[in-house]
Amino acid sequence: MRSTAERQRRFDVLARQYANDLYRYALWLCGDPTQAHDLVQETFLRAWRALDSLKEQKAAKGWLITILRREHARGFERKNLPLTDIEDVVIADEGEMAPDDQAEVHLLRQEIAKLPRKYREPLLLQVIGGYSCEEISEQLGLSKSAVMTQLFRAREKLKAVLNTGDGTMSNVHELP
Amino acid sequence: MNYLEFKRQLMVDPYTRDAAFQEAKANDPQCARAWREASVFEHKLRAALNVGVPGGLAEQIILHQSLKAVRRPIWPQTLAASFAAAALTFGLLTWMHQREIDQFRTFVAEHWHSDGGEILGRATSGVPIDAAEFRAVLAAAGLDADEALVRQVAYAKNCPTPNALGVHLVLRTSEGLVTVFYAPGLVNRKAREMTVDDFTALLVGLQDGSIAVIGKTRAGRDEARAAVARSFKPLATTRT
Repeated sequence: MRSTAERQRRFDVLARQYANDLYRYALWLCGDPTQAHDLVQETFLRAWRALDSLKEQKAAKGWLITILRREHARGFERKNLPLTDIEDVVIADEGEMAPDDQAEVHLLRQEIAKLPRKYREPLLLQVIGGYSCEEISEQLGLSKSAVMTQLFRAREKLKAVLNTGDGTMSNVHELP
Repeated sequence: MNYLEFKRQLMVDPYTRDAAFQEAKANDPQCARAWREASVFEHKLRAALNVGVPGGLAEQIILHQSLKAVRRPIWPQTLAASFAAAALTFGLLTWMHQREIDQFRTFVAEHWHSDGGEILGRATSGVPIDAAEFRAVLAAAGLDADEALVRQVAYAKNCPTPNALGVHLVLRTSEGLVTVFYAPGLVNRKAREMTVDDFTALLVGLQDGSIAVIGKTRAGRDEARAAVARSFKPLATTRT
């Protein structure tokens, strides 16, 4: 049995470490900042109650995302709002990007919002969550091949909207 | 990994640490070029997904949790309060009951010392008691009794008890004379014994009061107790 102070410390670490990623995930999931905020708060509240069941700290992010997805499925899904106005709610740091790139990022956002959830969610888990295809398949309860197909289709749809010209690109950034 | 496999991997998981993928990226110029193109797209994708987050979100969550954590234990607190109230009530009732028992014990001891021996002496002298007189004594304490008990009575009188006018009886048993005090309104749920001088008093609860059965032998006390318990009736019931 952990002491209350230790429990609180663990919780604070989780909140500081994962709140932002969870919010981004929630916003892309439900499309409404207020809902996303509530969803993240409810997720952490449930996490607090079940904190003793989290045995390994490295599993925390996946555990939180699972809670968030369940919460979303439980109550928030019914009042889902369309993601068409995503630009209104997105305030991200794009200061280092060239204007053309910024325009493409805006275009991408519109297209991500329009993606069917079955394509959007694996992409969120991969890019925001940092999960491998195996981990995404576990998280979503799908086969690995289904996840790979969905990721392929998601990128295919998004790339299709970007005019990449002859494929020669500026501002090349290495993947981590 | 050939070029087509590499291209497919870029579309599926460009972040993979797969050894064959890394080798193709490093050694195959065609794959390296595809990698650079994919990197540009992935950079934009990450930027697109990197939506703004409300300032101080983590702190808001921690605050929200701490407020809920304080408010949440309302039902356990209510439960605890209920248990405490129940325990308090139980304790109070136990204390009140114990107080009544103590009152009864005090009454029995004081009353025995007051005239217990003297009344027993009078009963021993064999002066008979009239049945009507006996019933009048019982009626004053709100009681009536069966004929069988009337025949057993050697002496009867009313006496003050803690709650109301009671009855002081001496009954004939196979073990000799046994004294019975009846105190209306005193509750004594569990049979108890106490010593008064050379006698033992058995304290027993009845429906509307308690009796103390004082005798030398257990058999005598038990016989008297059974006779009284069987015979005593509330006055109103027998009159209607």
